[in-house]
Amino acid sequence: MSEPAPDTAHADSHGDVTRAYLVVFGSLAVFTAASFVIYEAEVSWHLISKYTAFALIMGVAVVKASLVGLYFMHLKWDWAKLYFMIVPAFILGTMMMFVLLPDGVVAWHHNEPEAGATQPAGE
Amino acid sequence: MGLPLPNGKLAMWMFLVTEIMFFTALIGVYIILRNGTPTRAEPWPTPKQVHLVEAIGAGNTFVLICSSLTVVLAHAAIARGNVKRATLFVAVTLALGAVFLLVKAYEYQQKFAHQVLPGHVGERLDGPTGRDYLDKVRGRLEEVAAEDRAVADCQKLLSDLSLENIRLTPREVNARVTAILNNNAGVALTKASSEQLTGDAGAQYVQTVKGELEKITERNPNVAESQKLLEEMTGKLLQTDPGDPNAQPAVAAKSEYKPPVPAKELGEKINTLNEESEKRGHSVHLPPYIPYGNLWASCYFALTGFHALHVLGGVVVFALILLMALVGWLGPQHALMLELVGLYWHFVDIVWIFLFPLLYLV
Repeated sequence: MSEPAPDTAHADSHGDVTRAYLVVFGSLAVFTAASFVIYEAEVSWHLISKYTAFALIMGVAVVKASLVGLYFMHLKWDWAKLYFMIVPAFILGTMMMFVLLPDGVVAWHHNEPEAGATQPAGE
Repeated sequence: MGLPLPNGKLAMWMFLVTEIMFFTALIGVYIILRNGTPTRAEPWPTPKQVHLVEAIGAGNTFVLICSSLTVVLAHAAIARGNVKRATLFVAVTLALGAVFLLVKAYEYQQKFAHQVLPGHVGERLDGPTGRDYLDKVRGRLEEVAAEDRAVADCQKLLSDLSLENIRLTPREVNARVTAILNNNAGVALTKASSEQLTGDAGAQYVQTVKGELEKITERNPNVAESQKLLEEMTGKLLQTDPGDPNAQPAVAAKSEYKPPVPAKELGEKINTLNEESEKRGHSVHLPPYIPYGNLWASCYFALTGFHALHVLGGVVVFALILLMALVGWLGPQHALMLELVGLYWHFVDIVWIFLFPLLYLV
């Protein structure tokens, strides 16, 4: 591993970077606790519907992943050099979700029969 | 020329992009299977049904987040030339990764202990696979009942006496009590005298026997409950009167059909027996009845298993780096290496950030 010195332009003032890491860590811990509280609010306290809980919890997950990606993985500084690889992966991932959508949507159970009857094969 | 980027970083990101696709595929399939299959009558298993503890998952998430912090601090330290501090942070990251794996192992052990495994969970009780499942359950119940034959025989009679719409005559009860006393020693049951076989005395005798049976079955609740469930699972022709050929005129033997309990109720009873025997400290270990439990187990083990393998890979690499540090080979020239390993570790963290809510919370 005799690579040239890594790009530490963003770490000119290394105290700032360390501080940023600690702030991000604190935020991640708070968000993890928040998603657990949202879960309890839905399941135990019945304050929100399961759809609201799902949206909030997944929203929190996206924010957490973004924080890890931007700060811990240095994408905040390296994005311009790496986006050409990362963006296609997300496009492909989204496309995969769309491709699989009929299998999920067709089986939605808005008019489902009572328990014991067989399920319809699809629309 | 080329990119203003070290080759290693380019390569690592290219690898991570392929890993994104890998986990997207797995998570996508999980979403489709989960959204596409269950009905309102039989919803996707809840965490309680499959012995999943959300707080443990949340704790594991926090462990991985801490390890992400320590690895990035290790890189910051080694970039400044502070190898000792970097070694310490690498050691803490390794320890946290190991903690994650140990907690995962504990969670897996819980699933194994309750037989929440693909192919082992009972689902469609009234279908062809239901027959195999119920045979397994019946076999296990018979094994448990065989541990204390006296209690099992007493429970058999008690179950028949407790039927709502079939009444055993005092004569039949006496015949059954005699059979139990002949087959088992040390059973505190009373045989009827000839005066007690008719009228009010007969009804009184049946009540007395019922009380005695309840007392006997209390001494081994697991065996008693298992035999009770066996009786409920089985439809049979129940003799309600042995008859009396010597009477004038002769009395013929009588039987009535006792139907088995419906499939839907049966699943609940199997789960209840598992829970209650576990509370008593000695689980009966019946394969559980969890609608869509096999699908849940397949998804859970596939997703968390692949993730755990990735964590293990990271842990191995951290162990090697720590060894390097301990023999004095680690230096500031390895800052890029540590950054790249950190990138991999952060990716593993991000995957868990999505897996945790998808499997535990929603």
